[in-house]
Amino acid sequence: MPGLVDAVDAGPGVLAASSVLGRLSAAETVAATYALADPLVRTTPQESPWRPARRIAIRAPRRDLPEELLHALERACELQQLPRGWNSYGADPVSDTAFRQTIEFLTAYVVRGIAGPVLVPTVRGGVQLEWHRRGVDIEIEVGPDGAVSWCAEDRHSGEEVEAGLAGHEATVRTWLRRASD
Amino acid sequence: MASPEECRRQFPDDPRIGDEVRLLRRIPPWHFVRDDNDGRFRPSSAAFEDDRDGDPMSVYRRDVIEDEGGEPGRVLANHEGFGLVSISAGPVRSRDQTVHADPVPEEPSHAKVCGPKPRSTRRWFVRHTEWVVAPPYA
Repeated sequence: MPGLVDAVDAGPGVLAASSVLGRLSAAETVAATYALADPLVRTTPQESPWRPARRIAIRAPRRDLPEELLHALERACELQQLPRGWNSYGADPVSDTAFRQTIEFLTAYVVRGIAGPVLVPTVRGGVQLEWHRRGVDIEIEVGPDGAVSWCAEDRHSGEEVEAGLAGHEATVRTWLRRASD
Repeated sequence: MASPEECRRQFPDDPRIGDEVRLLRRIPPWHFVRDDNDGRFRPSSAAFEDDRDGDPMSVYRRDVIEDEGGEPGRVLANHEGFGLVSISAGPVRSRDQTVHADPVPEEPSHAKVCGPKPRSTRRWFVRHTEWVVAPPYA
């Protein structure tokens, strides 16, 4: 069942595992880590001089993890390592809460058949997920406190919506399918 | 988020900055976004927020740079991989923003754009800015 996520600070053993996994392709990494242990473990691609490496453990069958999700998880790990001031205007690093909430969102919503998002950091330590395809624009913003809001626009019909996530989960999934079909 | 009233008081609009003046904004590589609807790379709306401490969004005046004989790309010095976009001051003012001259020793062209920047305004910035220095793959 996708969506059960554990993200923990890496210890020496994890760093060693990371150095091994770093030589494998994404698909090989998935296979190797799944064969080694349950849950699946994804590690940051390289150790950052600014922030500790992280590992993400996803309790999900491998067949439920599309490449789009894996790419997004790797991008989330990269963003989590950005230093303060990454935008040249004093931006905050991505908060742990935003990082974890982003992983939770990705594993719950970027299922097979859904296009992968672009992930960008926000100035106050959040993460924004974006889809701009098939005439649809979707932005999901995860705040530094983990609060999730979203907006979507259909360029053809002019339909626009902007809301929080709570109570609108099905609507978000519908919009994601519109951007993916 | 600064209210229009607070902006008019703390960062008043400078009428000496004409509506035609081009304002430059640095875009970090983390904010380059592929837009398949437009078939191009463009800045994310997240690139048009005020600073994390609430200080208004920084920009640079192209007229000041060029009056000094400089090139817009000088504001990218020591910012490898960054892009640069521009937008005219007039349309920015139409979005309830003030354009406030704020020269600093290292960059006399520095200015502030002060006003509320909800998601709709940040997305408006995306649609109305043009690349001056685009990502190499744009």
